[in-house]
Formats: sequence, C-alpha cells, structure tokens
Amino acid sequence: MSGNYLRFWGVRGSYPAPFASHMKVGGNTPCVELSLDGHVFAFDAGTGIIPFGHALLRERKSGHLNVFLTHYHWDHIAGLPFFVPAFTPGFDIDIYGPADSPAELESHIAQQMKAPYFPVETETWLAKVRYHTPHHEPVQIGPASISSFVLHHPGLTFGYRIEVAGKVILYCPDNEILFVNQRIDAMRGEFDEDEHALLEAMKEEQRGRVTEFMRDADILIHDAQYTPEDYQRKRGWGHSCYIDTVNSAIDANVKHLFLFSYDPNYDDEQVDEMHERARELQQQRQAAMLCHKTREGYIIELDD
Amino acid sequence: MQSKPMNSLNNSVNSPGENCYIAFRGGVSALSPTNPDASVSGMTGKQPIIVVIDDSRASLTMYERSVETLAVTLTTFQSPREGYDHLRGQGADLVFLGNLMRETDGLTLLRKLRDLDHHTTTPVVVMSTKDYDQDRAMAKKLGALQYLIKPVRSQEIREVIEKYTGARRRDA
Repeated sequence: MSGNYLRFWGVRGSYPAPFASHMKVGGNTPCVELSLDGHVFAFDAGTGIIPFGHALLRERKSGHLNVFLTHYHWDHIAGLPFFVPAFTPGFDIDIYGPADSPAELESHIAQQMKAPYFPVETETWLAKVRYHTPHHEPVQIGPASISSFVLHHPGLTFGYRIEVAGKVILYCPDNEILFVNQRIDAMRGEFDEDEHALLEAMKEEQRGRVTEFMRDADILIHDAQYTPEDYQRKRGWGHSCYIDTVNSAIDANVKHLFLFSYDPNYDDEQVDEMHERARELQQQRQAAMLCHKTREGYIIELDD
Repeated sequence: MQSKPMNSLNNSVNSPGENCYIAFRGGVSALSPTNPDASVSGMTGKQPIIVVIDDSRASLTMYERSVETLAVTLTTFQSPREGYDHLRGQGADLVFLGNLMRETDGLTLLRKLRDLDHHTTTPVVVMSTKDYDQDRAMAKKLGALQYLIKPVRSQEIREVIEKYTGARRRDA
C-alpha cells in the first residue's frame, strides 16, 4: 500500500450493526481515513474510528491527526469516547466541524462524555486537542485543500470537498437529495396552474444544486442508505435512496461513486443486491462512472 | 442583494415585478427598501417591510408573485451574507429565511440575527426544503413564528404576511 490512500473504517448509517449477517460489509458507523504524504485525516468519528485509533497506536506512539466531523448525530461521534489516541500523550488532534464557534464545537463533543452517560469527560484526554469551525473557507493541510458545504440533513450538516493534486474527493455521508422534488410531485394538485411553471423551475434548480456540488468529482462517497421501497416510508428522515444517488452522480459526471451509509437493517446480501442494481442502472445509462460498494477495510489507492 | 425587478418593468406590463413596483411606490415619492420610513398604510400606519433571504431564485420569484396584490415593501437577497449585512442596518416587519443555502443555513443566520439588538424580536418565518423536527425545534427556540416546508403556495405566503404584519391588499 502506498502512502496515499482512503480507507473505510465504518460504512453504516444511523447505528452500529454488529450482526453476523452484516460482517462482510461491516457494522461500524462512519469513519473514513485519508492518508496523504504522511498527513492523517479522519472523516467522521463514528464507531469506525475506534479500530482506526488502535491501528494508529500500533503504527506510532505519537503524531498529528485531523478529524473532520460532518455533524453531531451519535453515529458520527460515538467513537470519540473510545478513541485511544485522544487519551494518549504525544498525540496532537485538530477537530473540525460545523458550529458557531470553536467553543460550541467543543461543547457538542463534550456533552456525550458526561455523567450519567459516560464515566470520564473530555478533560481526561491527554492528547493536545484543538477545535476549529471551517465555515466554508478552505483549510490547507499538507497537500490537501479542504472546504465544507451544507447538506440536506437535520441540523447543520457539512459535506467536505478535498482537493489534492488536481483531484477532487467528496465526502457526503448523510444527505437527502431531491427531497423537495418528490414533495413537489406529490403536492402538484394543490397549486394553481400558473404556479406549475414555477414548481418546475424549483425542481430544476434542485437538480442543478445536487449535480453542482458533485460535478466532475473524481471520488464521491455519498449517502445511499435506502432502497426505493424503504425510501417511500422514510422520506424526510435525512437520507437518500441509492437510486437517486446513482442517477445524480451520473448526471454530475462523477468518475467513481462509493455507496455509503447503508441502512443498518440491510444484511450483506441486501447490500450486494443494491450494488448490483446500481451497476445495472449505470450500464443502462451507458455511464462511464464506476459504482463501488464500500465495506470496512476497503482501501482506495490514490497514487494510481 | 437580489436587485428589485425595477429594471425589468418595461418588459411586461403585467409582470410580477411591475406589480411589486407599484406597491413599493405606494403613492409616496422615493419609496424604496432603503427608505423604509417613506411608507404608507398597514396595521401600524406604515407599509410593512418584508425581507426575504433565500438563495433559491425560484423561491424568490414565488415571494415576488405572492406580494403582487399586497401593499408591502419587499426586499429580497439571494446572498445570505448580503441579506445579513442589510439587516444589520435596517429593521423589518417580517423576515423570511431559507434554511438550506450554499453559504450557510438559515438557522445559523437567525441566531446571528437574534444577536443584533434591533432584531431580538423581529418576526421571522423560516421556509425550507428541510422537513425535519430538529430544524423545526431549533427555529422555534430561536423565536421563529412558523417553519414552512417548500413548496408553499402564493396564497399561503400572502396569508402569513397578512397575519404577522397586518398588510392590506392593494385593491382593498
């Protein structure tokens, strides 16, 4: 393995799924490691960051780490109380996330580590930890420029755009795309005839927004939580139907789409079926884009 | 700031912009969004000032159409930053905020707005594509009067404006 890669440590949405029927895909919640020229990044701190922390400690006894959080729902921060490098002197950790101020970000993280919910507080962390709120201004770390953008999910939720060596990587674990378009279709009859043209303009605008942020990405890691059948029951829960994700990525000329944030109720077989249907769709549309299934331990080499 | 449709007035006699423009003038000279004191009618004796911040062009058009028949002063901003800068120096009788915007979310903007002394109690309605309880609860906590999910009918927008500002129909 080269020094530049992405590695998936957790790919499940919502909550951990440590079930025997799920183990090929894995049961940990979101955490994606990015390694670039010796710089180490973690995108989200779901339970996947726990084995990542153990792996880091096997490799090194100290070092610098950048953690980019998309938001503070449990499945994205639940690994931090068990992230051993944070409790280890010699580690230096910069944490980025959406908030009005670094103090607010620190508070969001600290609140899950308080009695009676957890026996030790963030004050027991022995690593040097700093908090940052990127607010859409690109952050330059080593060879990577990282910027944030707002996703369609409850509360303020960021996606991250990583630009490195002329390539673009997008990390969007929780994002309900095209929600409003389906709502418009369902409500069309309630609007006057002369408002219909405006509704169409809204739909077009929404489609444009979705493809705008994905446009020409080399790697898109995106919410693909539900099947179309389940999405009909869970519309408005903050996650995408994977068919919408695939279609939008094709429309946006994405090169590699990585399906991510699977519903924890889906076993390995169901995830395989989703991936197969996604590939069929890609072939039907004669798209050049390649659609990949993520699983724990999956590594994308970035030097190729 | 999203420019008012003044310049497009000559394009169509019946355009929404023209109707808005007529309402802005309100029979008083030099009435403009930056001259809020030069207003007439409304519940308080002044023409209500409505400010909309939403980076969706289609949504702004919906607002513009909605107020065609109302005697209000409508100022729209497609840039949240410009909208906030405007409100730092101006009051408003009612503010509509989009929630999911490229630069920021409307609730972050509302929080900043509430930090301004002259907007601690300004009536605010959030109109969003996000249909989530977490956002609704936060909007309520920040004092928003309503949280509406897009798309919203013109009639409903008019009713909201009338309810919270006492705006009158132009032809009433």
